[in-house]
Amino acid sequence: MSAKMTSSDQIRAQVLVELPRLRRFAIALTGSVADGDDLVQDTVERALRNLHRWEPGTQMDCWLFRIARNRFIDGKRAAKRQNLVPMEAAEGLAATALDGARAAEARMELHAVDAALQTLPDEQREALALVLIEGLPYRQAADLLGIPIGTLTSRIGRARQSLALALGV
Amino acid sequence: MHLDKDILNRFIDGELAPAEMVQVAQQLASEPGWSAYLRSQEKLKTVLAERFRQVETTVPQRLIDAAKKAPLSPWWTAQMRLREILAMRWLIPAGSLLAASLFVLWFAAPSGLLMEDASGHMIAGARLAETLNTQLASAGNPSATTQIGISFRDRTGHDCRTFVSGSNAGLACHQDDAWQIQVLASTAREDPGAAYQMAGAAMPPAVRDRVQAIIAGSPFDAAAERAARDRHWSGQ
Repeated sequence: MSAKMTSSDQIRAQVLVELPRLRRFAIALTGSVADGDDLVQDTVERALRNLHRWEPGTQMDCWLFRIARNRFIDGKRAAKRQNLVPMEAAEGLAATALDGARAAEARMELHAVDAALQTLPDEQREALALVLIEGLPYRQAADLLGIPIGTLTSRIGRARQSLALALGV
Repeated sequence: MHLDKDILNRFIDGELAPAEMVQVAQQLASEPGWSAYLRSQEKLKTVLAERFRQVETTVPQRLIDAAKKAPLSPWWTAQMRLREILAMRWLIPAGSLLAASLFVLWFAAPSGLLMEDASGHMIAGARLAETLNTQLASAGNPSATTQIGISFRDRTGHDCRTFVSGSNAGLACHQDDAWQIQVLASTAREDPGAAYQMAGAAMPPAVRDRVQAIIAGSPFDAAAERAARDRHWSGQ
């Protein structure tokens, strides 16, 4: 950190803190690490460029999630690269440290989860990502998505049902 | 209460009121027909958590660079400069020069509040980590530069603590022998002169909301806080 933490340093530190969660959300939305990271980079650059629109004291994570979601919907750039990148290959995940048979099994499970997520409609996937993956309370997720809490609840319900069926759990 | 999948989903996600949670738990004990659905949904949560836990491992350098170096809104930057000038104007008449000096000294320390770990995650720096490791909110220490708020266990079994330091408030959870910063927010908003007086006061909404999102049960009382410290915040 710099010798004296300025307002700019504080904001950048807040964004840095949120990067891991923002990545998870973006990767869940886009279905690939490469597209997810592109979305995060675009989101961060846009957020900092439009910082005057953020209200200090409000939740930085929700603001970043909202920008990422809007950028995803607006651009749909990820749709051009629908081929899923194996996430463990891109990140050197723990699975690579396993022996061959277990690693192959783990990769299959990862692919199954990714593929199942991508079969969901966007509005179900984003609701599910916010609540089941990020652990946001229903109210907060509904506010972020701009939908009534009842709509959120039913989207999560349908997403759960589809995923459970697809993954055989 | 009539049980259906919506109610059970809200039960699984901890979204029912406490009394309803108890009621549903009691009903489930006498209505075993729902146990397969519950098992299936718990398994689904586990599968998703495991899959995305792995995503978190390393933040690419290009994203860290974007957060550190991407241009800031010129309008916001101008606002902040003005606010900092006004803050200095108000701090001195308010007799807070000492507080301001402490603030500067605190962040002038080589590894005071925050640092990055090898994966690009923000963790507590040496001095903040020392405070989080040792200081008990229940013991009270109003003169300390950093104040501890509440301590609790999160839903993944890690011990977490809120803190206020200078004009920053945050939440850190103890994981992999480090205090991982979960959220960081500014406490100095409309009244910069009040930046130093908020020790122990209400946390910014950003911190409060994150606590509510991840807390399992209630915050530690004095005995639980002391016990957690004695176990070196090892969680469950």
